[in-house]
Amino acid sequence: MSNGENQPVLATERLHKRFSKGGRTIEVLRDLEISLPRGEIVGILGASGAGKSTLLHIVGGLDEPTSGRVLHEGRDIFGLSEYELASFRNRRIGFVFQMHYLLAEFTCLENVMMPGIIAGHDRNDLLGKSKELLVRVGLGERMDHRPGELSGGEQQRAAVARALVNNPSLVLADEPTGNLDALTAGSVRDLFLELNRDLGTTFLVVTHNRDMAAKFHRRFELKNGALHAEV
Amino acid sequence: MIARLAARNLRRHFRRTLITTIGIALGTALSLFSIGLGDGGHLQMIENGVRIGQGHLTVQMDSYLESPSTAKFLPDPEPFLAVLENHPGVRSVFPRIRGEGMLATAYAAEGVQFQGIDPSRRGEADLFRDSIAEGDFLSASDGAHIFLGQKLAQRLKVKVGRKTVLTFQDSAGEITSTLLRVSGIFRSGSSAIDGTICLVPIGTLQRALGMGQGVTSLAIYLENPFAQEAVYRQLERSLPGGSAGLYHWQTLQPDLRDYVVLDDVFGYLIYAIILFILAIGVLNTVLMSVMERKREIGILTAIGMGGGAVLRMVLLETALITLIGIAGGLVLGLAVNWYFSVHGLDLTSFSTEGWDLAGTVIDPIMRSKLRPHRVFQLCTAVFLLSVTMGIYPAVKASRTEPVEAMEKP
Ligand SMILES: Nc1ncnc2c1ncn2[C@@H]1O[C@H](COP(=O)(O)OP(=O)(O)OP(=O)(O)O)[C@@H](O)[C@H]1O
Ligand SMILES: [Mg+2]
Repeated sequence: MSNGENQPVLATERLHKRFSKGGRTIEVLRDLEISLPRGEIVGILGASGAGKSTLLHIVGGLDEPTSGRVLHEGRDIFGLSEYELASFRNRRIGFVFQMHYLLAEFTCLENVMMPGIIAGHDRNDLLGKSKELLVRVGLGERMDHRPGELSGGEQQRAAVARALVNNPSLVLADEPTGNLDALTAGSVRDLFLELNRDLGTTFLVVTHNRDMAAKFHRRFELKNGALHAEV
Repeated sequence: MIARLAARNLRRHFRRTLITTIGIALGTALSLFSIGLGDGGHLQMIENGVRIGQGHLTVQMDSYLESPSTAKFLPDPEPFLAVLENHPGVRSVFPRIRGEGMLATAYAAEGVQFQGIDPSRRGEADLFRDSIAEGDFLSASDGAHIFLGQKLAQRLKVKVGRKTVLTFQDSAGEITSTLLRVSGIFRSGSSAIDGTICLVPIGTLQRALGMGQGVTSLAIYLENPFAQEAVYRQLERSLPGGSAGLYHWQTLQPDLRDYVVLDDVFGYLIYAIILFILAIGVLNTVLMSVMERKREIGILTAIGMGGGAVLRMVLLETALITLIGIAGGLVLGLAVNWYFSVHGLDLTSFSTEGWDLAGTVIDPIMRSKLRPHRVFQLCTAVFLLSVTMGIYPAVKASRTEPVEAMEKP
């Protein structure tokens, strides 16, 4: 993409997502349009079941829309080959899933390093970077612990560190502070804001926390399958 | 990276890895054992068979094969002997006369198969020499002696030192008799052999049959029975032509050949069964490990591990388990084979009666013989089969849908 730099990091066109189950079809996303310029940090609010996770999965290339397009820097991600899409997710997207989804058999540090290992990054650089991130999210002392030995909030913070390790251009975070106390939630939020400011990383963050969202550039509510701007 | 993940997956499911590895090792070892014992047994059978018969390779008149008769003899074996003796790969050559006749005593008469041999040649008729029951082996190459099987001696009620009369058609078709004194009696363990075969010095027979220096066959024994084809091709080029030809034991002893082939087929059937069980085991393990890790593979896919990398990871795991298993199997299998090649597998307790089959004597002590290319064949087969079994689970894993896989543990 020659003009990728000027394109929005993320844009969707008439995004539809329907789920059919037992003869019943629910339309979770309806003609959804969003455009995130580089360097924005945007919050998504919405009731449970509104389709927030579904939206993040689709714009992150994990799930296909029923119709419509998802463009990253002008490029249709569902036009990529399976291999290219995997590599794209690995290098350009940082996911913080609603459930932290760490690999149970690997240590906290190894979990954070994993996207970098998959990308084939230099091990020493990766080690330094991962440790730095773990310190940032307050897990400097827990690096060698397995996810099962961490509290829910700690696991969530490890997942945040993992999402950031490959310097993604877009971070998709699904309630990253859902299990955290106000203090830790605040530090994760500050980390996002800082990375956003320093590196220009773009964030799309699903949250129920209005205080957190208040610090973001823009906020939307997902309702009836579409996004509504909030003030 | 993929290798490290694969190795790690194996290590953390140590018990399952170990069980599968042991399974592969046992399957490999068992196959090696059965190959070794089968091949060793066949080799012994063939060796004994050709000792009773006419060598690994035989020179005889082409017409002899269709209807054996002492009339179809090779009048001048010298030019053949000149080529055969000292030919590389040839251990020994024995001029022989083989015919059928009637052996009689004052009490009875029996149809026999007589063999004219040269007792002065080292190694000649050692199978019989080694199984002397009474008396001595033939000594002079033209003495009027006979060396016969115990069953035959019993039927004829003859003892060492007594006289017998051998009656046969001479080379001109005339009925001739010759008086022979029993020098010794052998007991090979095969009632068919002990009841029909008698040995006579070749010079005595040549005279009685009016054959001059003629022989019915030259029995050729090889240094290495597995090199038979190579030696055959060399000899075919360098032996004199004419109406005498060079034959394989397989042609002259078709019963033995068929038995070995049939037994080989059974052997292959057994390996096929072992390999089949092994394959099912590997498939089961790999499939299970992939299903158990569905969620984990979903996460890896979500954070950008490509389907190709997942595929390689699973295949690599399978290959690693297999290699370790094969290595273990080799150690175990070779050790067991070594034991049975030195000590042999003693089957004497299974039968006290004859050990004869398809014109050969079976050694009641089986010694295994494992040739390197057979080991290589088996290991390759195990490896390829096992990795093939990994393909289906690997493909399945590589097609993991991340969202679905992560949500359903
Ligand atoms: N694979 C699926 N099959 C059928 N229905 C699904 C599937 N995934 C999600 N849904 C439905 O789509 C709707 C939106 O789900 P989604 O997980 O996106 O909601 P959400 O906004 O993230 O909710 P929450 O705040 O509780 O996490 C829900 O009604 C859910 O039941
Ligand atoms: Mg959700």
